[in-house]
Amino acid sequence: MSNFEQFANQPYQYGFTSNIETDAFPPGLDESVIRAISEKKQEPAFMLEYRLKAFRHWQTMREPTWSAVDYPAIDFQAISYYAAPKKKEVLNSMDDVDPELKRTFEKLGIPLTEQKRLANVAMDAIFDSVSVATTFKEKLMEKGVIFCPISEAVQKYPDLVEQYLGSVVPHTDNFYAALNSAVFSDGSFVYVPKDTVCPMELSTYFRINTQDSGQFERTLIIADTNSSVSYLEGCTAPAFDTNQLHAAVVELVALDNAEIKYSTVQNWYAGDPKTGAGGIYNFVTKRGKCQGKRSKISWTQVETGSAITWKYPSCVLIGDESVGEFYSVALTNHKQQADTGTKMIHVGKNTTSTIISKGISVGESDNVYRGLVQVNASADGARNFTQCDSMLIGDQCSAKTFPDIQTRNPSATVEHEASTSKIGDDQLFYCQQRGMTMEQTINMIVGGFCQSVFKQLPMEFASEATQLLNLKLENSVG
Amino acid sequence: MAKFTDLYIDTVADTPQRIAIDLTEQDQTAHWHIHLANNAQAVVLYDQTAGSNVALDEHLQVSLGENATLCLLIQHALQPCSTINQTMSVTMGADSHLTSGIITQGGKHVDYSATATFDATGAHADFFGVSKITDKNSVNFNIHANHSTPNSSSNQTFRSIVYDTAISNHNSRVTVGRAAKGTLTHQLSQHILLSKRASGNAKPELDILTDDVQCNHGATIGQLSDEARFYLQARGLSKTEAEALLLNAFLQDSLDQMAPEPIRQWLKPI
Amino acid sequence: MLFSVDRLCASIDETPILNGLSLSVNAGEVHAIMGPNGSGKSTLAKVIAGDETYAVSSGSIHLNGEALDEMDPDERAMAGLFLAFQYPVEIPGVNNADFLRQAYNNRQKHMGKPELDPLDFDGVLQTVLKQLRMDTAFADRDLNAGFSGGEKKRNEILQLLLLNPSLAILDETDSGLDIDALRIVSEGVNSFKSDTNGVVLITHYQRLLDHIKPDFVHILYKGRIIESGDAALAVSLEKHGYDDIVQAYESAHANG
Repeated sequence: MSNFEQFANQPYQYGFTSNIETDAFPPGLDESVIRAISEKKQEPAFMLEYRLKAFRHWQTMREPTWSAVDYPAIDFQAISYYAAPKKKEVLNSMDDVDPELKRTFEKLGIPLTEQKRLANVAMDAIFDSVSVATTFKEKLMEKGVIFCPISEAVQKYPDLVEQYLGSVVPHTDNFYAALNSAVFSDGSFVYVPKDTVCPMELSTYFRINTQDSGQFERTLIIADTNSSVSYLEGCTAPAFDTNQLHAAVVELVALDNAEIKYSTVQNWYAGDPKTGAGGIYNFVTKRGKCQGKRSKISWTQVETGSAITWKYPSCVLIGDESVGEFYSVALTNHKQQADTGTKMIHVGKNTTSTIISKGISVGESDNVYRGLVQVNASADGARNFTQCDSMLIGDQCSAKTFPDIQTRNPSATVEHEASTSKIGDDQLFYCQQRGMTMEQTINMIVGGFCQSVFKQLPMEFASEATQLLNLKLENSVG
Repeated sequence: MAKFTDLYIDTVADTPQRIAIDLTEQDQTAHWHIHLANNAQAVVLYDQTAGSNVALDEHLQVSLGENATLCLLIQHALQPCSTINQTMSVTMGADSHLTSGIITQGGKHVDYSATATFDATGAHADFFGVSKITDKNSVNFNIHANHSTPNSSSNQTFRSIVYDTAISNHNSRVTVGRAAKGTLTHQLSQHILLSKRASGNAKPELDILTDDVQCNHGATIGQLSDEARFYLQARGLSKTEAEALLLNAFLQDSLDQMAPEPIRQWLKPI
Repeated sequence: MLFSVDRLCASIDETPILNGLSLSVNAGEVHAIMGPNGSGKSTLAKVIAGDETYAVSSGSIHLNGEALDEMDPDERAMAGLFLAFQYPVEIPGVNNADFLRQAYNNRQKHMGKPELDPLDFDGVLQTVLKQLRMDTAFADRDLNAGFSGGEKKRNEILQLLLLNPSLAILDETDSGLDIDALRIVSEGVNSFKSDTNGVVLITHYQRLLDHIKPDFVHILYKGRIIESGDAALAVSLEKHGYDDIVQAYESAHANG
């Protein structure tokens, strides 16, 4: 078999910027910036207090250095902490949305107008950390489902927000969570009432447009007793030559018998393929609390973009018989770095967790899986199954696996398997003998490698994920 | 022979070399070597017994010449309150073969670390760690197989039974450098916890820098099979006898592989 | 001339395996290649298919008048070449039906014919499955993963029938097959045979040739064809083994 040759990758097709009038703070961060953010959003007092408490705590913290990712120091004073498209006072309908904004989302393949939208998917579009449009709000309200920007929820449903915000990821949790709690500008808020199956897929699309702005989304999803909801997060950003920080916090709460399915297809700008310059730093804290008995939270992620991905969507299994799941495909190419994985913390009785992680390293990239399975002394009958597989393509990339299994309960059953593989020369030859090109073969084999994860994605997005993977692999091995 | 005497072997030894060291408080640090010349073969059976209040820091350097074969088995029978830190570093010559096993029980804390550097092609190492830990004691197995040249292979297998409030840590690491094509490695960690507050922890780590390798690992933490226990009891064994039999069976595979007959006779009951 | 190999020399890791092998196949012919172990039978199949593990130092291969020598394996497949592997590789996670449809549509596209969508393709696939007496559920399984040896061989013949090549090389297709499977596989190959295509059977044993009648039989030894004949040659081999023929060859070439 011939050696793999590398030739130019297809350029990142979402790298364009949009010409939208934007309201932006000058760079810098101090208490006055926090107050200004809160005032811009007309927040009630409890929200400002929460931000200030978080900010003061952040000032006592130091950036974590334990990860395997390597990046130049971030100057937190050189970031602008608020950027939003100037918009009309009240948005009564899609017609009120800035046409240039609508065009931007069309170009991204995310239609905002309801005629063209994906059937059965409600969408919240976030531009530069501010929600600009939410489709199907009224239809969802008929069922009692609240789906709105968190900035709106803070004003309309303050009790709910105050009760749950920070209950899963406290502001003291880590450096970036503290920063986010102080300066978050927007994100999605979802509340599904008791005994309700949310009638549509909910989706939020994040688009960063302003250079040198930090993105601090905050998402909070609450599924009340016997309810269920499926949520998809999609993301892209323009190709700037400086790095941008994306430090989001996502909190999920599932009460008795409730189920939350959270899927992410991430395609942030990964940086210049040769130098690695530019690209998004994706440092995210995502955690789900299975609070109720028999509650279930599933994380499914397809990570293909961003210069650095640093995230561990996790589940804390408190309710008896609760279930946590993590399915992940992380593809790194060129000079990308990923340090991702999950934490499953078993607390209640007879809890179950499943982890399936597929890492694909190409080019000169570094791909790290870090997974913690912790079975507390109280977690009688806990069961975990983990499968983490790495596929390396070429001999300039790396794959590292750092699982950490800690058990304190004798009735727990933990099974962990990991393997590394490459695309076998004999597999390549077989497919080529059947008339498939090298590219078709690699897409097919890598797709097969990721199958067990892709089939967890909501149907509408499974094919998008496959296409994204093929796009990212295109012309990268030859 | 004085304690911790260096061993040089340059022939194919036909009987195992036995080393029996009874540790006392005076034994605090030790540095010694085992060296096998090219084509040499040896089996070294190393018994360590320790009274209370032993605190030993032992460093052993092992080097294997080309085509050398060494089976080095360490067996601990320790009294409570003894602490042993054993660090072994191994250099594997081309086409050399190492079987390294440690069986430990008793002792307040045992920390056993081994790093094997595969500097030349065709070498193979099998590491076994077996422990039975009771009371508040703890045992750490830390093995690192560092492959930097092509076509070498290593296996790491750990099996531990943990009682009372004891703690067991299996830290197993495999590094495969860019030039180490054709490396084959396997890591397996298995724990059985027998009490409410026993802890079993595993960190099987992989650090791979090239694609033409096969590396996999597995870790399980579980209990004795209720079905198997019931079967044995239904055949007239008491609960205690059944458990003892099943625990023995759990460890058997590792013991058979590291100490085939006639070396098997040397192993003390666990 | 449908297919020809002209004085092919190939080696692996600098060990020569094929030493000036020549073969000519006309449309409508079935050729059997037999030989003792180590004679180069599987190497021949893989070299013709374009496996770059082998280095070709001289000689040429032509199919339908086209020279295959500079072509990649997939280009040779498009040119009309099919190899049924001796040990079909497993590719877990890849759905069998998807794989077959992709291969089928590539060929259709190359020939300027319409590609089929999954539903239409399924119709085509089910017909062939039935012909080979294979379970319909087979389409849902992963490519060769978890297949028994016999199932893998039948999967190769399934692909042969779907892709309808100009020249089919079957590399020890009969090994590991029981009597019933052998019969079904042979029926498949016989239904493929026509006067516009050609078949090269690489086999160790005579019994396959009871089911698929060869027009020509060649003995392969030390990387070249040392004797050719018709079906009777294979029968004679069965009776006497390779020794006589090999010894005769060695003594004739004893002086270089």
